[in-house]
Amino acid sequence: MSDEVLQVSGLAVDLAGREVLHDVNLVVTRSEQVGLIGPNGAGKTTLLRSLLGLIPIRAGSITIDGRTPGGARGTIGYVPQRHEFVWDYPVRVRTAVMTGRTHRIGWLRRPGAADRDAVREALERVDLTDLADRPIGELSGGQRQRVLVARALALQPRLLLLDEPFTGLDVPTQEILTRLFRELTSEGTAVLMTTHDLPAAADTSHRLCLLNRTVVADGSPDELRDPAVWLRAFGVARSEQLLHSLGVAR
Amino acid sequence: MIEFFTEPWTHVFMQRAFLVVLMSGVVCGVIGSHVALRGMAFIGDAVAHSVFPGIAIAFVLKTSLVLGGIVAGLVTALSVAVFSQNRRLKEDTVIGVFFAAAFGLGIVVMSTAPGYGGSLESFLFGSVLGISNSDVITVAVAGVVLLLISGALHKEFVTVGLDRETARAVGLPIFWLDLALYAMVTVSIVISIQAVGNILVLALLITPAACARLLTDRIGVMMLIAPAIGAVSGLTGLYLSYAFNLAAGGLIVLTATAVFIACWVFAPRHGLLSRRSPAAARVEPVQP
Repeated sequence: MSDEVLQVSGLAVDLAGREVLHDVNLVVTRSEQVGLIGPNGAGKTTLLRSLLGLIPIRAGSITIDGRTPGGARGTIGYVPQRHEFVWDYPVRVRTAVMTGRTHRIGWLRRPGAADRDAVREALERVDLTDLADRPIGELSGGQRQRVLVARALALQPRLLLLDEPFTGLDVPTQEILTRLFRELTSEGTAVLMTTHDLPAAADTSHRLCLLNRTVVADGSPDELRDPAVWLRAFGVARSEQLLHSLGVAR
Repeated sequence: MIEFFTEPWTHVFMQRAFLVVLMSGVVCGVIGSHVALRGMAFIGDAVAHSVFPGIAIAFVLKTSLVLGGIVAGLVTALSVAVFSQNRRLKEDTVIGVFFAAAFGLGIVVMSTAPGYGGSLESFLFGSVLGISNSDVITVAVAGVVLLLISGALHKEFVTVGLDRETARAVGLPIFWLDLALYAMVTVSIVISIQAVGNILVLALLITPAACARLLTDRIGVMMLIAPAIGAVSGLTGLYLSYAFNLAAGGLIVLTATAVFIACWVFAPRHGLLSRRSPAAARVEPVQP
């Protein structure tokens, strides 16, 4: 089995006739955590959606475990932004996590022992076992984020995609998730996350990928110490605050 | 006293009315739970109006009213799906255009039938006391089929209801599941039109589900409570209609509304009174 879980080459995507991504090249290997960073409108979410096969691509190719996004459907763990989820829906945490496996369980079937085991393990990993029977509407923001991660983990994916997982979370929850992602990568999972939280991304990711319509820079946090690279990605002439927060500026 | 409760059921027309109201209440309670949870009430209203031309055409052609209603409902649902692709128009705008058009078409078609006034009234306001044996059988068969499909697709409907985007990402056929749900809403409405009429049928779909949502945080329980409230409201309305010689459809809906107001005020965790009591603070989300 190849070490490259995700391979994107020459990817171009148009939305409503406007080019959002062009010539995007990106590889994520086993056991690697990659932070996808870029300003608003850089195409981060669009990239994730095209990896999931949710939007058509104009040019280039995406390979996930040797398959197209369409063929890899149901094997990728996806954690959307929290507001994509209907939190006032009347189900318990355990049921919400089980919905990650709905397609794998199959039509006209009920969850079996393997499904229940996968959900139990996912709940344990995000430390939500005690809240498994709580209605999802009564959870805090941090607990909600962990439900979404558990739902993705219930698929036991080789590739985990996360859209802004740290946004609006307090430090303890961020630490729980950071530790979890480290565990997952050490077990071989490939993790790709978009984030606005640059310091956290620089801290936790093996590699950072700066996206602004295309990949502006791609390297380890140490390799990306050059302020010019960041300024080009974010399209600002001068952003000392940003650079300070990253520890890039002197 | 006992006679007051048993006397209505000695009439065959009341027995049929009893059965149809009971089954409509149960089916609408279950399907309506999905409608209420998805915030589809306006779509339910649109479907209720759009089945009307189908029923009118079937009435004029003397074919199956249920079939006519289903075809018209699906045509409208598809039209809305297609016309909403134009991003300048919001979906509810398109629905507004089509359901009024469908209703207009229905009235024009009805007006071609001789003596249409009486038939029109029975479609609009229900004719629960004029139900035939074959109507009862149609409603029973359609109702059982609906409940079976609802059970079979339950986990898929919940998955899509929670998060459409991720459901699509893992490979669920969202479009077909939506269409199935629209079709189920359409059939529920068509079989309930005789009980409460075209205009009030939305209440049978939404109100018991809204009551149930106030009483529970589990969708499984909600799908037991909503049909129970629908059935009890139907029977109570029917009784009151018989006892006081008032319109059955209206009384059924008003009974359900009374239950809703009671739930809104007294519901154990989400009602007005418990929200005001200090004990309610315990169920507030704890900040991380």
